[in-house]
Amino acid sequence: MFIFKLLKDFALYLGGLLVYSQKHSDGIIRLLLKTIITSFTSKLRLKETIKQAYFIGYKTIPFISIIMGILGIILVTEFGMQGIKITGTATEVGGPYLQLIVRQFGPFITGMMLANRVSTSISAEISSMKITDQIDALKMNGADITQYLIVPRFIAGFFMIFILIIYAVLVAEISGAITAKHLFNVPYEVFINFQFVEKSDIIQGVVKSFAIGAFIPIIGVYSGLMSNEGSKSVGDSTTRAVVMGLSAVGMIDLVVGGAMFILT
Amino acid sequence: MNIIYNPIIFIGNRFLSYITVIGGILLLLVEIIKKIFKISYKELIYELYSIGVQSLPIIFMTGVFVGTIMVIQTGFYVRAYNITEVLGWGAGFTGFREVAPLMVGLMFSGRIGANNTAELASMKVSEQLDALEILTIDPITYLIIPRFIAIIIMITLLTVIADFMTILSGVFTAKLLLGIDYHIFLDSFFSYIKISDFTTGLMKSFVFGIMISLISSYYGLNAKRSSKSIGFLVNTSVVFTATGIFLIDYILTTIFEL
Repeated sequence: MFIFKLLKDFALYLGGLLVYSQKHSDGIIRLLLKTIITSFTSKLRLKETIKQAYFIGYKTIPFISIIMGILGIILVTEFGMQGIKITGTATEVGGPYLQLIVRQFGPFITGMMLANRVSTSISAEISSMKITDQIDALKMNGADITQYLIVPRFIAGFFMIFILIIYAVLVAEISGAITAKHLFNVPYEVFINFQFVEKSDIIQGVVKSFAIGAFIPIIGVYSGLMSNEGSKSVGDSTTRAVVMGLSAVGMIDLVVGGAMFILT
Repeated sequence: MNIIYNPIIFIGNRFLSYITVIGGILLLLVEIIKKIFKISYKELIYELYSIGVQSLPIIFMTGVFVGTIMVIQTGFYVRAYNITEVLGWGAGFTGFREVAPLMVGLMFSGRIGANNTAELASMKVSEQLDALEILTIDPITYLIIPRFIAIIIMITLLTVIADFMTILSGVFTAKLLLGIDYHIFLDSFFSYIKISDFTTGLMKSFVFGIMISLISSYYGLNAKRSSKSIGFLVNTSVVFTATGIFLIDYILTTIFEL
């Protein structure tokens, strides 16, 4: 009987989880659509957008450089070792490596890192505005929250994250080339090989980048707006932003990757 | 803008702040090791339960993501060269050794690490830690060590679950998307994968667990006394943990490969 009770508890838990995630993904997509419509119909706060772009784009460059540099070293080391085990040389690693970076690891890893960095900081900012009643004050003054707060973050995030992902691919390629040169003695002109990168790979990378760029700022804002009274809710909202952001990046990667696999 | 005006001051300041954080974390580790046998077992069991159960859904999801993404990405090559017999190996090898521990580490740092920082920081801000000390209860033995041990045990065990989900979702994705039969996938998986691939991943997770708990506890204990700082502290702690996970992953990969 104990087993049945456990199974029942587990099923209830799973159902609750599904309802919870359905509710929030619904909310996030609604907020995204509302933001897109507002960003076309109302006036953009240009100064605020540039300020947000500075925070989202420029401030994350060192972090992304470190992460993608290390990722390049790890991947090329692993690939090279396998290449030497199977074919005896590591010269053919360059082409597939660049393809994988463009198609998969560039958007995916950068997206996860930005979910950590950007979603949490937006969420912390918005939720501390919310608990100190600044958002209510804005509303009282007749400001539209979507136009005033969300759209600048959305526009800045959308374009900056795309640029950051291109930058991340570049960094990973350079660090990979240096690793291959020093560890496996592969010359740069052999390693940097564009043959494998096809149009479909570039499309896949670009679609993933834009989707991640649209969702990360919105998730930060959504999670920030969800917080209610009390100082504890700021911490809770940042935690929620990380979890939602990481799940969203995984989901986007899975959906876009699967769709491209079926279509091509 | 500082970096343009005076790069030396900028670099020096950055360096000093990193050194301070790393030193603080090492001191915390020393203190934990000193007092590790004075642990409160009741708290340990509570933390094991809450950390394990709290992160179960997200670990399930991580495993499913890893398995599906690995099979899709290996699938492009399998379809191009028509080598169905390596699919199980490809997905299992990269998943077990590299991607599953990395993703579990990042997810754990997001779910448990961030939660830990937020909880400890709000205890510090609301002076609950001082209250504990007045009651002659050491916060290190009462709060930090149970979390430390619980996080390490649970991340290692949950990696096993994530690995299992990786294979399970890989099998289904291979069938649905590539039309490769279950037994071909599993045959290739069981005949090429070595037990060392599995244990390498577990060891990586173990080290990630130590790091996540140390960094998140350090940032939580060093909160300034204002409620606004909690959100930014959580942000810093998560970013620092992510960088550390990648660095340690690189070091461990070189150790295990060479």
